[in-house]
Amino acid sequence: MTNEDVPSSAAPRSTFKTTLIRVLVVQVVALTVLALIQLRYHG
Amino acid sequence: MHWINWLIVVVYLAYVIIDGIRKSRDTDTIHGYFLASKSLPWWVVGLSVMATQLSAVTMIGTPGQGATDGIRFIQLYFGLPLAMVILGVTLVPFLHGSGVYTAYEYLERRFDARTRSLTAFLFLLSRGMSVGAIMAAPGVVLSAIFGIPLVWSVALIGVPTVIYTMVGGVQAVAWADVKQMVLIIVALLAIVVVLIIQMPVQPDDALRIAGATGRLKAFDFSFDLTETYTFWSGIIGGTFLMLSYFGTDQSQVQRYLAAESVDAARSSLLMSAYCKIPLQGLVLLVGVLVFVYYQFTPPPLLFNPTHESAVVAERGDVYDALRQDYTSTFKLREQAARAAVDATDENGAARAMETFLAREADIQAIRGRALTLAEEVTGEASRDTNYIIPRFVLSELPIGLTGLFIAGVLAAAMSSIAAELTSLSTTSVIDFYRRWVKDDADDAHYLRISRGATAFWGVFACVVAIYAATLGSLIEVVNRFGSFFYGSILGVFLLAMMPRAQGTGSFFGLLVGMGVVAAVAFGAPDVSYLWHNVIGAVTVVIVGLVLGGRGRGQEAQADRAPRLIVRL
Repeated sequence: MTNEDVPSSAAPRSTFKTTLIRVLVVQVVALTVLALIQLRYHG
Repeated sequence: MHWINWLIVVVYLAYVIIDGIRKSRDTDTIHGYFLASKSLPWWVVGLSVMATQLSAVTMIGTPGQGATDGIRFIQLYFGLPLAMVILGVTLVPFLHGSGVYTAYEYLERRFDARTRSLTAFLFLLSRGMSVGAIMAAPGVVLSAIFGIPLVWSVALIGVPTVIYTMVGGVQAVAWADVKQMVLIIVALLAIVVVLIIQMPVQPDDALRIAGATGRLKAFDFSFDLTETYTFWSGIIGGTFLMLSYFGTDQSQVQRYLAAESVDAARSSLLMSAYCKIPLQGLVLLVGVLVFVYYQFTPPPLLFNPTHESAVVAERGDVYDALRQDYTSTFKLREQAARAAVDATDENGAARAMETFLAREADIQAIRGRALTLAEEVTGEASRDTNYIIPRFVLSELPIGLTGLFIAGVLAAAMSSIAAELTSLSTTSVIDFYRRWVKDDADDAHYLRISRGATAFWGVFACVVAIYAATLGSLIEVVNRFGSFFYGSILGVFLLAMMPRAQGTGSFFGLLVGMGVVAAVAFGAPDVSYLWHNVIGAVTVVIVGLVLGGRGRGQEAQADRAPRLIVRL
């Protein structure tokens, strides 16, 4: 796919990947905390 | 309420108005008024986005939901981080870089005027009514809690908001959001700290009690389309909902269009990606802790004071009998809770917890009878979830903190309403007035019209809020209608990312998408609304691609317009 209006170099893609990984890590940590709470306390 | 608490509320309201007017100095053009001259740093936009999304219902209703239903509501936000990342690489750079004032303006460049006007009209219709509902929700609660007429509570929220929004535009709204967001977080953290300090049991024991009643169940992995909050509806439906909300709703889009750069706009959305789930967890935790607190401190039988007074006046004898039953059962439940906490061996703890759960069921049964009684007397649906937190705050929190929390509720209401007002005003002026009525006026003219439009929508919202009870069914119809096209509008923006898609397909795809969602909503009413977004978006994309043919004029127009190309 192409687009002339937005920079299409490899840099944005690598920034996106880094960001995606960071957000997913935070997401996994948040979900893990919730899972641990559920495992420990949910009757 | 103690005068010190009122003083805190009054100081907050005065500060918001003065600060808003102070921030209006740079808004002498519509670019400044609607987009803050694209000058806002990422953290201001990020906090503004979060404040906009956090309404008074979140401050009052969500902890109430935590108290009655637990934390499973958090699953709704599981799709949010992914949606933010997707938007950060697709819509945000295009919309920010294309110089548009509204998301719908872009659709004319990409497709045609009718697609733009239809989506903008649908936005005005749904948001126009919902802004009234957003104002009515805290207005009704504050009116009942303080015993003041609804007109006064609506004015308390509406008048300062309309003043600083009308005078200062997006710049004033965004900077006010920053302070309001800080106030909201401080109020929430303070209430958690006070709850932990005042709780007669250790935090670990408090969580054990909450967990035993199912209130700490965050995950439900069942794939049930009729269940609103499941892991799958959150991950799939939630992602589509957040893409729709943050990507196509002008109240959100306008925030990041005002950012100083594309990177600032992207980063502002990522703030939500990082913080939303923990923040929502904090809000729900408040509710869970309030539930545990009321295991050891007698709660009111009915939390809505207006309903309680009405029941006492008309069916006092029946209510007294229920209250006696409630008091004695509460003592038994409290004993069982303490026995469960104090038990030294595992078997003893399990037995005590079983007794506690049986007493808890008795309490809920008595509350159910009281709510039914209130419904019979008042003729209103008596779900008092929204009154749990205000009653707790007024009766249990120390002086000063009560005022802080009420100011926090007002802040949450005002930040959401201000965003809605600016977006309604922008869409009215840019997508209709400037597009169809007068396209060659000078900036001063548009600025006057914009301020007038903001004032109009502010007054409209107040009127809808005051007559919310009378308009109840109308608002419900509009909200339901709104859910028909939310996902469908997302579908139009998804089509905009696809080179094959053209104006005719997008326009009719939007109509068919709304029709299909309406058919699902009426034909299978049990299917959760979260799935409507998925159904609408997918239908629009399929129809849009199938109808992909285009006329020559559209072809030329489409080739000139930037496309939103997914690079994932």
